[in-house]
Amino acid sequence: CGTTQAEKDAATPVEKLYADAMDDAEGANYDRAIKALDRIEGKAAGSILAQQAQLELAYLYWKTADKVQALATIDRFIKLHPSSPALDYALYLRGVINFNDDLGWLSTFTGQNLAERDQAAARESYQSFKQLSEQFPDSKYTPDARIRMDFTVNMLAEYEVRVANYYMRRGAYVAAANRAKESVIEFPQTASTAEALHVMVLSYDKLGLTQLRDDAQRVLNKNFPDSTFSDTKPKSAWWKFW
Amino acid sequence: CSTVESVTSGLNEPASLKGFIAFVSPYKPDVIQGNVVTTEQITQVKPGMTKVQVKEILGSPLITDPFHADRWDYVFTLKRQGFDDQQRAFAVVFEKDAVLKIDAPVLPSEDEFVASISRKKLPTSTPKLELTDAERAALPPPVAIAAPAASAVVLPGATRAYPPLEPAAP
Amino acid sequence: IEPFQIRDIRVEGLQRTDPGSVFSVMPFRVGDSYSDEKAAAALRALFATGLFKDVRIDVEGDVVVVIVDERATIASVNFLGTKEFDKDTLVKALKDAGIGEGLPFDKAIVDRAEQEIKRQYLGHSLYAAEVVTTVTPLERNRVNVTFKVSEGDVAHIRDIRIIGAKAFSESKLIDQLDLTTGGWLTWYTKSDRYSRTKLNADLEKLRAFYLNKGYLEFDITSTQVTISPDKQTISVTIAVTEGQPYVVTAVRLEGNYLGRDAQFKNLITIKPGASYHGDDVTATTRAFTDLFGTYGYAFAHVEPRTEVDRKTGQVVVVLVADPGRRAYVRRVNLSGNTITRDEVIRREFRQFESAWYDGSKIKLSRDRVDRLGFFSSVDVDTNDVPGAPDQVDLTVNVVEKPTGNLTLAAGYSQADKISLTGSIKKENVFGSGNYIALDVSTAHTNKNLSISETNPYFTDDGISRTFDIYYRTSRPLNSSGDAYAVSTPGFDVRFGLPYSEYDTVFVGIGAEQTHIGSLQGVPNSYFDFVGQFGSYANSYPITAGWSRDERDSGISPTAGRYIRANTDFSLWGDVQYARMNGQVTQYFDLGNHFSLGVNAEVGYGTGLNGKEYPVFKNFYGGGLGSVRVFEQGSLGKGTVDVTGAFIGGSKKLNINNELYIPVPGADKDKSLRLFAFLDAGNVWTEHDHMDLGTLRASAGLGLSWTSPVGPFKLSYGLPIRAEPNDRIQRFQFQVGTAF
Repeated sequence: CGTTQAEKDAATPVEKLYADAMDDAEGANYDRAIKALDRIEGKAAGSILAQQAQLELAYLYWKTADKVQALATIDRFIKLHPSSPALDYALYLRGVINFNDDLGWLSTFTGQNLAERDQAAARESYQSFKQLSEQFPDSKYTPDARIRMDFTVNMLAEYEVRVANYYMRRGAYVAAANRAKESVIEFPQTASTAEALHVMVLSYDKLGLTQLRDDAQRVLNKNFPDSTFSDTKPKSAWWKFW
Repeated sequence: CSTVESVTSGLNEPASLKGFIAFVSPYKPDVIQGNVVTTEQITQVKPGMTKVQVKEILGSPLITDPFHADRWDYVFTLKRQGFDDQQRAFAVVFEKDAVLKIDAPVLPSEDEFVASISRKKLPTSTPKLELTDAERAALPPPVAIAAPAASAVVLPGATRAYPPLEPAAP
Repeated sequence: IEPFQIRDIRVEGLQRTDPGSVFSVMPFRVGDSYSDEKAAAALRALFATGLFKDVRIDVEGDVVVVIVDERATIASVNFLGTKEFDKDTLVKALKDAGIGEGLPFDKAIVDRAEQEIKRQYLGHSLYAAEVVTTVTPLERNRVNVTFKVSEGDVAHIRDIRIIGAKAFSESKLIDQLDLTTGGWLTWYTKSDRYSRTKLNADLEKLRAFYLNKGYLEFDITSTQVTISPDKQTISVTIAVTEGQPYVVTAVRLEGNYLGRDAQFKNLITIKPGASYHGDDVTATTRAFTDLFGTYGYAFAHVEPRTEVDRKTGQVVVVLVADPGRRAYVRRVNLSGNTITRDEVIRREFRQFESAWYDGSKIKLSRDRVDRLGFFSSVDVDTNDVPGAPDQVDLTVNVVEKPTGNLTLAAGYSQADKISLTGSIKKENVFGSGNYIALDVSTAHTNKNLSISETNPYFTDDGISRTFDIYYRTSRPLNSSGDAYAVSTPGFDVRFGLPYSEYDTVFVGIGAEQTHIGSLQGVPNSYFDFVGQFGSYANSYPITAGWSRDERDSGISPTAGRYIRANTDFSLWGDVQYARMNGQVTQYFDLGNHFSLGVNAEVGYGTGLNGKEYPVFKNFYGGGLGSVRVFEQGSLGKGTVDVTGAFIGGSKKLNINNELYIPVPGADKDKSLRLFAFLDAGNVWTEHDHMDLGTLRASAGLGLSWTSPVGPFKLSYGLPIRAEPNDRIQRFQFQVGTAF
């Protein structure tokens, strides 16, 4: 009787299975590689090879844009092998999975800006990189993690300021002040802090809270003496139809 | 849009010019912001009260400026089409978790505030909510009901006396 | 043991877990001092990892020995004999619960899983189901876990009895219940399968039924559910005491009504003198809470109290109101918008941040975001704000779906030879919320290139602007085969001004020039045209319109109404005409997933100041989106040019009824809709009046689905009223690809 694929897998030694999976992955035959690695994770459970297979599996899921499975696999790895030497790579991969920075080849041309998109994933990615840089300060992934952390922090801060500006335009000054405050407190030293302080000054002014306005202006001038914030934000160019 | 202005200015003064302009100008959604605080609430706040007590009476302040830890600002603004704009603000200043001073302007009472933002005037006519005694007497007497039968454990009419699947619910 | 300095730590009993995970959890290292509390902490930590069945710590001199009894690792999990539930979802569910390949084997979790599976079977009325778990040990401390299930047959409800009901017949009461004793639809609704939750829901329905008939003291004394020994037949018996019907004599208000009692009284729908109706009371209390909501009292509490007089069978209803405290929304967070810009969603939200919580505004905002048509699901959660009892944060969860579609239709017709018509439409382009469409059709007889762009928020308050630029050339062959060209370049701009949450008024202006090329060989309808308008005919159409959109969703509405009326007329220039068209679509929710959509469209155009109505402004009838089963654009006497091209007519009427039938899987994908349709309609030329006698009609089945591949419409039907020479197409479909 013919042996099914599963039985054939069960017979071959785990190492060979892993080697085949790696060849598939090189040959960009990701789905077959993923199935093989899934088998290895089960069969060789507990061995170092299983840990390696799990990491490869998470990487391949991310490569095939299956974010949910990728996160589930990497979280399982971190829970099962808290002290594995590859933990720094696992944390780094987890951060990258959530990083979601590519908006398609058009994004540079269309000016699609990450600071206007889903922030929950960005915060998640920030936490993973933060844990990586604190637990493994000298891991080879930490430098890149720090760069991505700065990028994420700047982006999160800019997101708050963009929303603050929106509420400014709609005349919801309390909402604008609070969103700007959020950006100043949670992400103090970023590129948008000056603008955030400026929005606070404007909205306090509209609300007639003169004392708060003057103090915020003082903080703005002290920390960002050369910032020249004109009152209104320039409306986007007329030909920009998106 | 310009056409609207010329139309209204030509009319003799309609009863509520504001209302008419609101009717013809495009719809602007309401913009309501901040805490609503009324005289009934503000009079209860006494100097020396703790922050928790103030929060209980006035509600959590929506503006807590990061550079003024001991100052809570209660601000309220309202922009609603066809209504006058409203804007009020006052601050509660603390000193080591005790109210130092409140400089509050005159605040509307609860009912005044609600009246100021409701769309319709108070209706004069209300539906009839009470039968007169005569109508009540004319009502038909209730149909005689048999006293409820004592609920037997084995219910009459159960076709199959099988073991209960679950304990009989009360 | 008095504390001492640890010289070394040894771990025994490890088979597969890597030592690192033991050391990383231990609260002490080599060189630290050792004490009993640290030992206890180490034990707890090691157990917490879930990797070990048993852990002991011994001390030999100043060496700490940790003896672990490692849990076996699960090599595989599988199910035998499962028919009711599909195997993969079970395996996946167990993996999330901690039983999966590579995870430590824990007897307690497996037992709990077995109970859970049995409970699932009871929920599906499979009372004879047996679940047996076998754990087969393998080498290197691994185990296989197999759940052997014998499902047995489904237990069906054979009879339902309601005892003690006098005012209403037993069958009428049983009709109110969802549980049934089987019928022709139960293969789908499975309503003859018993479950406790379904019974509780039915008891509530019964109570509401009686309350609505005035039986205030109605009570369900007991319910008895019995099952046959072979666990196949279930009988349900419900005992009730009805009490007597009551008549409402007065309605009074109590509690704090913010000094606006008169306004609240006007909302009361309970009529004194009529019998007590439970629905009226609930409708009134809801109206009260909504009104309180508009004043910022989001959590107002309105309690109806009944003062009953048994002797006279009369009741006084007292509505007690407590506005409670005002609640505020601190932040509105969005999640799931990986493509759509934050502002595109936020600008639809009527509930602002740092503003009082208004439930009706939040519901309206949710509907508005849903009506954008960019998302397959939109829902709003409220989560508390720590440290501020009267503040909440809102989170808007959206699931994006591809919003562009590229429809390419190739056709071959005797007149046009090969014609390619294609249109690329993309809503929410680059996530900006704007809509762009490019229509290209290169049929030999008429070429058409039109680009249109809409920015729904040209101004922050929602005034929209739409640009259309088009260049149409039509080169109809006349009977003797000579070609001549009619080209119409033009553009128009339209503004949409919102006048309420649902109404929008459109105003717009355009310019259009019609140029007839060489004159020889022009068919008569065009010859008259040039005679009247000259070879260069300019027209400056002004458009004015109004639309009210109250549908509950953009993709698949089940309730609400949509009305649209617009006119465009050209008062000066060579071509002068007026063209009106209106549309009303009303959706009725018929309950348990059935809904009916009725759509009526009328179009009427006439020339002005004695000029003829321009032929390219004609309406067309027939095909998908109009009267199905008739070929696209073929409806109407005199609307087919001598050359066989459809030129439409100046008057149009079509009525479509669609009864949406519940389809398994439709709840997961809202855009999948199966419906039975009944269409009627026709097109008339300028000279004959709209004679309803000549209406064509058709009926049949249709399917519409925005699949991941793209929008897909299909209809199969029969003509009911047709003339012999109508062009019938029983089967019509349209497919596009989404991107």
